[in-house]
Amino acid sequence: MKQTPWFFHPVFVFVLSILALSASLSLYIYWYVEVSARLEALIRGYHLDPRQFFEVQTWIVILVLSILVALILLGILLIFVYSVRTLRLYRLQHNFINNFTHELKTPVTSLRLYLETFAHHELPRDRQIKYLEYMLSDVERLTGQINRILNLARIEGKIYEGEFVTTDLVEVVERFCRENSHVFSDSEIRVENLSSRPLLCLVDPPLFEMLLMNLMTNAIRYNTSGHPRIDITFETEDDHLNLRFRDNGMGLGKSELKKIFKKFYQVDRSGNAPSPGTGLGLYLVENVVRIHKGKIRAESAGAGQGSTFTVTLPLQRESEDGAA
Amino acid sequence: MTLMKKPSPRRILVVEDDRHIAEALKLNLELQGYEVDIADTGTAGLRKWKDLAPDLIVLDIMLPGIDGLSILRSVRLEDEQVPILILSARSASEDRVKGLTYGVDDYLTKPFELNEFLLRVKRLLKRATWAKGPAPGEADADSGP
Repeated sequence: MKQTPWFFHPVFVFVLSILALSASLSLYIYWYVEVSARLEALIRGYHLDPRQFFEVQTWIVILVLSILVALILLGILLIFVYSVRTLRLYRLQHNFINNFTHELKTPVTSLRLYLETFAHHELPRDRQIKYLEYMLSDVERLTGQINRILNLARIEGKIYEGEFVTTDLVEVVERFCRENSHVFSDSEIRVENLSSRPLLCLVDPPLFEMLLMNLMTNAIRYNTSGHPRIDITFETEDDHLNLRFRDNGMGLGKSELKKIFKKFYQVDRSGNAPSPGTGLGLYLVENVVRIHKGKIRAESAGAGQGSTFTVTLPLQRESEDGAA
Repeated sequence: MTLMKKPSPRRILVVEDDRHIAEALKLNLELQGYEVDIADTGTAGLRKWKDLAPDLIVLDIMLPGIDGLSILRSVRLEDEQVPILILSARSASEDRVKGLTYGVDDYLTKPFELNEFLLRVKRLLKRATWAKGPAPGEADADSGP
């Protein structure tokens, strides 16, 4: 991004406009009072009654002027806030493009290097297998990134026509953990149903799996404990289900708890960060939860203390069944 | 000409956080006869540079902890000569200019061709030997710039 000169900086323009506006308001009033005083003197000179001309007018004029100036001021303020927001979004987006490029180029670079190595050298079989596994995981990584972007477009475009089915959520989560055990092979995952009955919810399975994948990979990715652990608990509350993911990861600062769900937002982890993500994962998660008419909130005792994500979803009665 | 250079392999430090890429680079550089060390964070990179005094550094820009450009600056504060090759996913010219301003010798954008990378490494190492000047005892034989 090119550096804009200081006199084009929004804050400078904003302050200057306010100063100009206040100056003009005082000048209007000053001149008005001045002119009125002279006029009054003139009128007196002609022995007329000045009240006839000035009684109410002065205050009305000042009042109207002040209201108009206040309106203009409000307008400038709104434009200023809007421009600051746009600028922030632009920066986030710029950041996202950088990170997304990084996330795409890294696996492609790795794939290319190994393919070229294979083309030039005859490697022993065991090493071939090792590098082929690397390549497969790079392909998986690429697929993941591409899916994330496609899902984002679908969810944001409001054209997502999900297929919702009533299912037992405990079963969904357990099956997901089983099927993706290779992703979580270095971590410990415990699933516990505190309500001891089947918990039926209306879910869109592919979307819900995306939510699980994002929440759980975050928990082990932003984790420096050496032995990542995720506790998943189910709890009912009236007609709602609380699905809790508690990890022993890097945790979150208080100011981050809401911001992490914003599009492109990334926690600044200078110091001991893993390679940056895209800032989309939790934004997608929140949208998936919203599509399921639920809510999500993050809690953490602070940096280094792990974090807990609670997804609240409406429960279906056991008599209700079938797709909606 | 009794003083001959030891035929010890040239040592290359690869600072790269992606394990797959780092291993692929190590594998190929070793196949070329170099000795290779990998550092997966900026901090480890700086430490290994000090401990091992490599003949060349291959540096990724986006690193956890201290980023590649900061490493580049730290190294250049103490050592003007060691050749440094940046590997970066960023291809914008401003990024390359930034790297060059801080004193990098070469810049490759990911994904790059393996052969090009190996040739550039070879060339950088060769140039570095010229920059160090002729070996002691040969001082009069060659008057370099």
